Amino acid sequence: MSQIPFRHFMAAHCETGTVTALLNHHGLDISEPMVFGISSGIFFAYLKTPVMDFPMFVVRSSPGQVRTKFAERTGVKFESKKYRNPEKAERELNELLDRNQPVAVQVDFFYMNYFPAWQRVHINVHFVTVIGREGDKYFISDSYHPTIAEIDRETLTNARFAGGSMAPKGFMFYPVNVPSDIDLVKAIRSGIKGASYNMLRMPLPFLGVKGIRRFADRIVDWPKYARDEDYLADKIFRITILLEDQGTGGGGFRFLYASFLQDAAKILNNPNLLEKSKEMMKIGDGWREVSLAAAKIAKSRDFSRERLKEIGDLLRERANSEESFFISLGKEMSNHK
Amino acid sequence: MKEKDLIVDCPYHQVVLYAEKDDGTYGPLQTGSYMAGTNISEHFRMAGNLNRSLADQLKSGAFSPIYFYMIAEGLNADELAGRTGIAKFRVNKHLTLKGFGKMKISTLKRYSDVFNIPVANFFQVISTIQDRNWDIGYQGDVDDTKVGSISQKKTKNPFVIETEVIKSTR
Repeated sequence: MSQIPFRHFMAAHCETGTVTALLNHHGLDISEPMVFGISSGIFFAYLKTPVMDFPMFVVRSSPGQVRTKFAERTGVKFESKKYRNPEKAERELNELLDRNQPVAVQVDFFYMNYFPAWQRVHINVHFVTVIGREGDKYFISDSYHPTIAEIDRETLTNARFAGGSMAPKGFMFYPVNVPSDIDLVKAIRSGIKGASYNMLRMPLPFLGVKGIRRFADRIVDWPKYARDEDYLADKIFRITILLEDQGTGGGGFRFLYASFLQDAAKILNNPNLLEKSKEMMKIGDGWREVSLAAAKIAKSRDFSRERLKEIGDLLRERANSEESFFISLGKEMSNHK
Repeated sequence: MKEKDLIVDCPYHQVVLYAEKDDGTYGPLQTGSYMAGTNISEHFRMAGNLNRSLADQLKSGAFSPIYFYMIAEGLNADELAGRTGIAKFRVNKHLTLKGFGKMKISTLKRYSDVFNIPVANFFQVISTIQDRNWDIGYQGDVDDTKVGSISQKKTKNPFVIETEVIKSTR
């Protein structure tokens, strides 16, 4: 067989892009921001555990939650499966492809060798859609790649069965039932309420708005975790990469969320949401200021406490604006009839 | 953010960003990556420095080739243990020269699969003109190379030789 006819498009993020493309393939006309918003994708967490050499932060919900939350709130059913045995995983993937079913798989991004080496890092939570095979090669629709890519069988297996934290274990999924009468109003409301809860009321001090504040307080300590100046500069550059380049749609997913709120305002016929979308766009602009400040510091190699505190201050502003934003967004949803 | 403020000319690394269009609506914009377009040379020159400094330490015998690749690929001992299926205390031994010297080839193969390199690469540091491809602007010159020579020399690390591939440019 060869390629299944599939509309490939680049997306802001791999998981929302993959879910959106698969739903579009199954006839559901839905956008990436809508999938992101309904699944309460927007988030923040600042993490530093004893086994981590260096602190890290995330700006979206846990990998996999886009699919599960979207399914829960819309009634779409996905078939999903993990494997211990790579041969079985490959056989079942091939059977689905032979039945013209595109399949999303979880992979270690490092093995996606259609990207240049300098772009590839070990990260076990990348999602791509396999849309066909021919001999020993597979055709891949990857949201971060401008065209359909190809990968050989062995590399795909290595990518699907990479070990380590969040190991993919051959995980794959595809939609099996897409209802024609999805209640988008209800799904959007649940998505917004979920996002407000995650940002404001998660009971741990490193999650949501509290996580942004923790990041603001702790960034001045980053030099003590670095083994040298190059390493520290690399980690500070990664703030910019994580917010702007690593599949966020810019501004740490905040631009994507603003786009969702604009669409939601129309569907819910709620002009207040339109105002909230503008507010979220401004918050995204603020996150971009953080990115630019981080890139500037990394370039200048001035890692003094004062300079790092400047990033901390910008982060604290973001925390304050997101706190008031999500409080009023939550109220808006409670008042919405 | 307005679309025009997000456009970056960087055809080799495209991303999708969401931005405000001229009519006030928000939507996707395919453009060059900000990092790649404006800072990539600096970032990857820095990454290149990190790798060169690591390679120098490897050649001096400061640690084993397993340690070198672990750091170069952004992993740590916990993660490497998880990915290879080798117990962490054994991974920690393999990070030293003494532990590396006692490894079986089959164990090395498990590491090489994770690092996505041939086993032979554990035993040599290869220096080529292409190392300069960290500097994106230099990439074009690499294609213009013609004749070349290869030399190998010992290093202070008993397991590692340095292979130099020297190509002359037109």
